[in-house]
Amino acid sequence: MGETPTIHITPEQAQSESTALRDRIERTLLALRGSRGVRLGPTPKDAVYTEDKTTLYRYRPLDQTPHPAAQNDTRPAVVICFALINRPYMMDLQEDRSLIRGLLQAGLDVYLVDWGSPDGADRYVDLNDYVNRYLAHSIDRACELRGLSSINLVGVCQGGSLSLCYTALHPERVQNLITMVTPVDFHTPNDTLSRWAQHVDIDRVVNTLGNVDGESLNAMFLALLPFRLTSQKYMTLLDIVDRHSDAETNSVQAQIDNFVRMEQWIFDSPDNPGEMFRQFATAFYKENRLKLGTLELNGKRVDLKCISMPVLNIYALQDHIVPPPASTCLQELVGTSDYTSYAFPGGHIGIYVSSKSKDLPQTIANWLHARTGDGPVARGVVRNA
Amino acid sequence: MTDFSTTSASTNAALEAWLQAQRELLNRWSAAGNGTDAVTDDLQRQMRDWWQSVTQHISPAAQGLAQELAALGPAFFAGTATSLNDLFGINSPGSAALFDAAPIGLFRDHQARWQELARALENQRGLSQQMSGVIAQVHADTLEHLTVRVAELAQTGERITTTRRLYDLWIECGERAFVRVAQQEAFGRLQGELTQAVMQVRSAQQALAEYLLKQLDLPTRAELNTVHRTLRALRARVEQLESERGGAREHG
Repeated sequence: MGETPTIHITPEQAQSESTALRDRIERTLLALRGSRGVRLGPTPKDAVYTEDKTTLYRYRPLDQTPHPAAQNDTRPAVVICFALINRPYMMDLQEDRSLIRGLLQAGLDVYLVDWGSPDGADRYVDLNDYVNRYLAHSIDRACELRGLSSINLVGVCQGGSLSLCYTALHPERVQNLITMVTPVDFHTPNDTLSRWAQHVDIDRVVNTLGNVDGESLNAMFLALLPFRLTSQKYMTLLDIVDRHSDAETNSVQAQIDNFVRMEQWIFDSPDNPGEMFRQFATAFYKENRLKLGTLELNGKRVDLKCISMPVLNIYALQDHIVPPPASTCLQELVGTSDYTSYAFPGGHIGIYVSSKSKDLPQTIANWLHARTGDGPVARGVVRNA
Repeated sequence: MTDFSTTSASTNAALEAWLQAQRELLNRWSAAGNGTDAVTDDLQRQMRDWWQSVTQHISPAAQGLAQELAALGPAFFAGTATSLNDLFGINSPGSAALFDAAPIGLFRDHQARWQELARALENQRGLSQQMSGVIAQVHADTLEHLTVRVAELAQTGERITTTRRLYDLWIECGERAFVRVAQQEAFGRLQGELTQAVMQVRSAQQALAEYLLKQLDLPTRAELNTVHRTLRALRARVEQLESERGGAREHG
């Protein structure tokens, strides 16, 4: 009895398609040769402060003019605090995919904290060092350069969690706070990473490895979406060579270059200092102390209610690393009456590089402009003369 | 709740391979006469040369006993080969005891480190096998999902006519199958246990590496950690003193 076939692909067709696949692989490999040495982080910047492995960068004005003197500089200043898990140049990946460039175009004075590449000597650097030393001193330096007593802080992902800790402990130093795809509640139902972390003996991992290497962390993130991230992503790479150009007239090579930049960033993960990893994984992922208000740094409780300045919380609706509820709970935890929430229609990475993110820098700038300079002044902020 | 544990027999393949090599060596030594094969002949010649080097300077009175001992050699090696099999064959009490027997002798510490590594590797092997079973189940579930999905599409009039479309559907169904498993408590436990097991192996390997480094008078991670902890404490103390000095100056 003949059965209706479920798929309509003949053996001859399967062979033909696999032969075509070989051609696409070959053309892609040739294009990949042209992608060696792609440039990342193209927007010019200068190191204005360093401490141990941490460097604070200040981005130059896009028109290449010098920074105005502090007393004449009316641009809102923002310090960006990125995660330790990946390199911060994701925010300035390429000229047409750069949140930082967008912020500069929107008239902001942009600083970036780069945590550098921890090595064995950083084995005992801990959470307090990152919040109350490196981030704190970076903000001090940015304030010094601008002659300000407080500054705008943008925290990204884990950097957002660190920014929340800093702001709660030093609210007088933060004029406005922006958090992007920032986890606050680490025990939400769809947080797969958190589920897995509950069963890992973090102490044993750190006592054995010392610093937790970037490769292991990459493998962990790939494991969240294994089929897509280890297979389908590379099929989409092969699709590129079939296109001549997209609506914006990008060449095939340019698209391959874009892919390679993303690939380089995704797998360019620094090692995490052992003690920092132990404390973050235990206090945040396992014990959810940030949300519960039981986190202490240097003997002081991190109370998110102390965050009384304006807050803009940006989260991604399709975020598989920081599910929206993990971030949106911030509204109930902070003590500000000026809380704005922005739901980005994309994923954890797309918020920086997808076409949908092109308006995000202006959104951030508009929100800041309304609360700095000629706009309403945040409560308790005094600008140095 | 799904239980991913499976019953796994202790194979101990690596130990068995080593034992087999020893048995072959002993069998060659115990083979009677020359001309068995080139390897055996060579091994027996080496044994005879060694015995000759031991006995060449002994007194004529001891020569007789030396010759009697040499004659007993092949039979002794044959008995030893049989004993090895009885003592340390697969699933024998002796082979299991190798992992857990209290270390003895001059190199007992070293023996303890190798035992720890062997136990850790065996533990990791078992858990890896369980994880492989889980992954296999994910692939099976993917096929089930794919069957349903293809049928759904057929009902809407869509036919699967390209391998690429089939591949994309397989990805979609694979992620669905995986996330269902990945969010289960049992999977989290297994993954945690496997992580712990890998750390145990790594820790055992590090212990052996540090032992070797010490023999070569090279710095070890443990020493460097001590140095870094000391530096950190000194830095904190210096900062505290500077802060106190700054406060003292302020109050004149």
